[in-house]
Amino acid sequence: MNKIFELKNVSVVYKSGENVAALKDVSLNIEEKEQIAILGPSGAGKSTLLNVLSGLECVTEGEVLYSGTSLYKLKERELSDIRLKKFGFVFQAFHLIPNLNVQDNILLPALTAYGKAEKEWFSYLVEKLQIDHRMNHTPGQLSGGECQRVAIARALINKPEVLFADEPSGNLDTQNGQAVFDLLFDYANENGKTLIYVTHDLEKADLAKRKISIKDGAIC
Amino acid sequence: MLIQNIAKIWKVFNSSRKGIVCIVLAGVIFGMIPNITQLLFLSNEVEFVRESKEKYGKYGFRVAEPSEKDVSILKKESNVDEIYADEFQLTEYKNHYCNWHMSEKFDLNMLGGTVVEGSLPTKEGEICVDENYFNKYPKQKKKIGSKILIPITKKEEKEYTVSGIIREKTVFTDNDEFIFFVYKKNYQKNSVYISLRDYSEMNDYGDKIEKKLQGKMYVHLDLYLSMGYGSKYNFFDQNNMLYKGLYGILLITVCMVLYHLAKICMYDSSESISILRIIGINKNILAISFVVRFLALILLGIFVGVCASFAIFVVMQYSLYDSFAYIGKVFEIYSVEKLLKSVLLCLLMCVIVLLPLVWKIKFQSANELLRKENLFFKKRKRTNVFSLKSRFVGLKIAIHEMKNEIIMSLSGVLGIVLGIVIITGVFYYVKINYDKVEDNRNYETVIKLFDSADFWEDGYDAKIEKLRKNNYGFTKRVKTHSLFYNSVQLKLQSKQVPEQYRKYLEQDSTNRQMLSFGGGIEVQAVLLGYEDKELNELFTINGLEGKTLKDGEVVMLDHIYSNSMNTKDFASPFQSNDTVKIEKDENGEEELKIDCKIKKLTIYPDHDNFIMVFVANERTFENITEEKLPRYVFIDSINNDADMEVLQKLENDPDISVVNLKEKFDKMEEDKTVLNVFMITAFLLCMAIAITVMYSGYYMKIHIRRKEYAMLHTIGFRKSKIFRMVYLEIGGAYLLGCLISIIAANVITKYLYLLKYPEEGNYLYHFPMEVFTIANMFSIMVTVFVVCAILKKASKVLTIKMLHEL
Repeated sequence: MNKIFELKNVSVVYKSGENVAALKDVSLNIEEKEQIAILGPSGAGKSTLLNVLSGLECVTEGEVLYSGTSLYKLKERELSDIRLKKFGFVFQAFHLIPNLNVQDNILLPALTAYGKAEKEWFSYLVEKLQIDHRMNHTPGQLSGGECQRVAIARALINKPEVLFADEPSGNLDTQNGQAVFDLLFDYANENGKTLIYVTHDLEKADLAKRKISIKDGAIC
Repeated sequence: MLIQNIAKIWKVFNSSRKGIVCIVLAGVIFGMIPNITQLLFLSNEVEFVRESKEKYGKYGFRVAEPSEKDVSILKKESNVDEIYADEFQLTEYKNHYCNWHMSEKFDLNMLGGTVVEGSLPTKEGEICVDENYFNKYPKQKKKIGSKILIPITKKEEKEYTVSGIIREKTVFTDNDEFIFFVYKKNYQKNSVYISLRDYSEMNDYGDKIEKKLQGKMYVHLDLYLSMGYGSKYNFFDQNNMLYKGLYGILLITVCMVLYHLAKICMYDSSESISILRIIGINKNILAISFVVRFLALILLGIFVGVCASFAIFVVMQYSLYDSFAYIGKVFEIYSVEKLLKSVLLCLLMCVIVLLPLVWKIKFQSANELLRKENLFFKKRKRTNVFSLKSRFVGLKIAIHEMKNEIIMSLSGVLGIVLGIVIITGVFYYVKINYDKVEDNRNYETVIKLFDSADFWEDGYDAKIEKLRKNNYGFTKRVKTHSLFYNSVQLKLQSKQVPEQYRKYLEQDSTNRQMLSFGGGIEVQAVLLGYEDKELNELFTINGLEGKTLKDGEVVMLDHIYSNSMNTKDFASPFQSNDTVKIEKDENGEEELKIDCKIKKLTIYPDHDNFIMVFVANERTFENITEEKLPRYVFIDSINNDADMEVLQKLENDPDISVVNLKEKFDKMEEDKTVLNVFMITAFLLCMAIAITVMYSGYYMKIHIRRKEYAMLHTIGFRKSKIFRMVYLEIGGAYLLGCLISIIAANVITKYLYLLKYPEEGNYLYHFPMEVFTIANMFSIMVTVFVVCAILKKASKVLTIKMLHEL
């Protein structure tokens, strides 16, 4: 299998008063179609690692290669395009646009990237995620589980190569949390895509074929 | 217990030092606006009254034949500043009123007038004579120490020795009065003159005193009229209305800033509030704490603002006058009550601004408060913005945001409207106060000659003609410009009269009747005669080089002329090649063809009223008016001793009046110094407020939506696309604001114009498009600057770290 991500001696240091190292000399390879859970205690650097992989957080030292291309050497426009077309994001706090309805929130990445969305794929997603009856509602009118399903639909609308999820069930009850993971794995399995997620929950981590434990900014 | 709780909660709210500083700064503006506006207007009033008193004399009223009781009443009056008494007599001689002041010692500060030569009388038989008297009767010997016969009554004359010549300033253009100061021992104090501390309610005060003294009061007409009493709005009314207008607009503007600030504050504090609610703090205490904290910070700001405004005012006044004494005069009429009222009004406005936010604290659940977006974005079903095929996503989101968050969008639009209107108003106020009235500023001196019809001394015409032929005695280096001048009657048909001019003419009831019946109307116009070389200059400055004017033809000024205000927009009613009928004498009319229209004259006649101006060559002028002599001779500049001597000789000639124009215009410029300082300070204040309201509006928009921008960036929106979205929203708001501000600016500028010209303004006002355009360009510059600053800040927001923090 091909390497999709390659991290070479990556360090991330936050400069706020005193320097805090969120990642320390991390080297890591991720293959295509891999399903990876990033584990670790709070403040260990899990989210930072996820953000570094997804091109959201600049590295202080080292290099991040995506399909052989150094992510942080790309122009802002190129990096944004990769995030838009190749990556999908699911966050713990959903991060939906409050003023747009569910349909618009889901369509937004597709329309921005291509000016159109595949009708069948859109219908399949909203049906599978059971949000088809909520299309005209705004995020404020939805429950937490529904919001997260809308966020997943938005993440999947462009059929991303890599799906990133940062504690996607953190704000949800057990049943909704499980449903969310089922959806993410279904997508990855059915379409042969890479899934990388951060979780505290060991049970959820066990769902992944590969686990990366991180502590004090280093992989252990 | 309550106070303790509030104090604890304050610590939670006060986590952002920047937020505290912003609220205090808003308070500083709140404190400064009413106080500095009041101080500026008062200092403007004090300066204006001082100037008027200096020009016309201090006294406001004269009390005739006062009894001792009257004097004691006056002395007790708190508004009476000074009292002076002399013996006064009013006589009439050849249709001239003669004001006789008799005393052993005169107070010219009180009575007005300047001794231009010699001194006031100090011995029996001495007299100080009005300069105007010598001008009207040039045969009298205008020399200190000479004996002259002055008519005491219509039949009786008395000989006096001239001790001095006095010049009296008056608001009347054609002064027919004379003033005489005669030394008299044991004079009867039959007139008492009182000067007032406060002239702002002269009418009411005069009525009040008149009642007490049983009708013995006479108002000092020159002072009275110079302050604008007798017209629609006097100077104080104008100032008061301007103060209220300015204060009102600034108050609304600062309220907008506060609203934006309070919203940002609420947005930042909502999480803390919700957590406090969750841990069991009473929501009433939370709401009270939020309001009290905000008001306390505002009050602190107001206190600082009031102190700062006093300091600024004192520094400003000291730098103007090099003395603190003048400041006292302002504080004599300073109203603490007005300050307190305005501070209370500000606080009330703060409470009103905070009410919707308090409502949210009280009636939204802790969970809703925790999800910040629920605070400002309504939860309701929304129609789709996009279809499955949609382009221009950013544009559509921007339009959608503007449409759906109507209050937030409107507050942004209103901020822009206020910004543009304030800037337009300020520019316009500066324009109408500094607009250059057409005058003879290019010339240093003017020689005024007598109208030969009024002046019948033998040989006068021949003398002036001879002088004219010899360049008035000057060498060839001195360039003279003769202006022939006469009033003529014109016949106009009703259909010839344009709307604006018709309104002006219809002020007169006879004109109104004639025009409404569609008949002809007679109007007065001015016919100027130019020498050929002057005509060449006239055509050159109007871009018509090489043009000549035939006999029987005239050129016409393309606007109605007045040298008291700018009338360039008041178009004259004729076109090129029209024929005008001018009444030549009682029996005949002369038809003159208008050759062309011109924009400006080279030399201007004195004329306060609005009048049409025609220019003919010397021959045509003489043919119509039968006048051979010029009325004015303008002189460019004199740079050598020989010509200066000639000028002095002319000055001493009783047949000729010489006016130093340079001195006159320099004095006018000097008089504007205080107005300049006043205007610049008010200008800067308004600009600062306008910029602040725009900045706060844009800032609020981005601050509250930064999470949305960060999220869009995360899912792959390019920075440039997000910025474009911001530009579109701000651009849309600006466009809408600009359209609304046309109406608002129209109202404001008309209000300002009518304040300045209460009568003429009604038909002279037009929307100042050029000022509006300049104000808009300035606003756009401010917007671009502000947006760049905000976007620079916003680019920091577009990080995942910010998204998580939010």
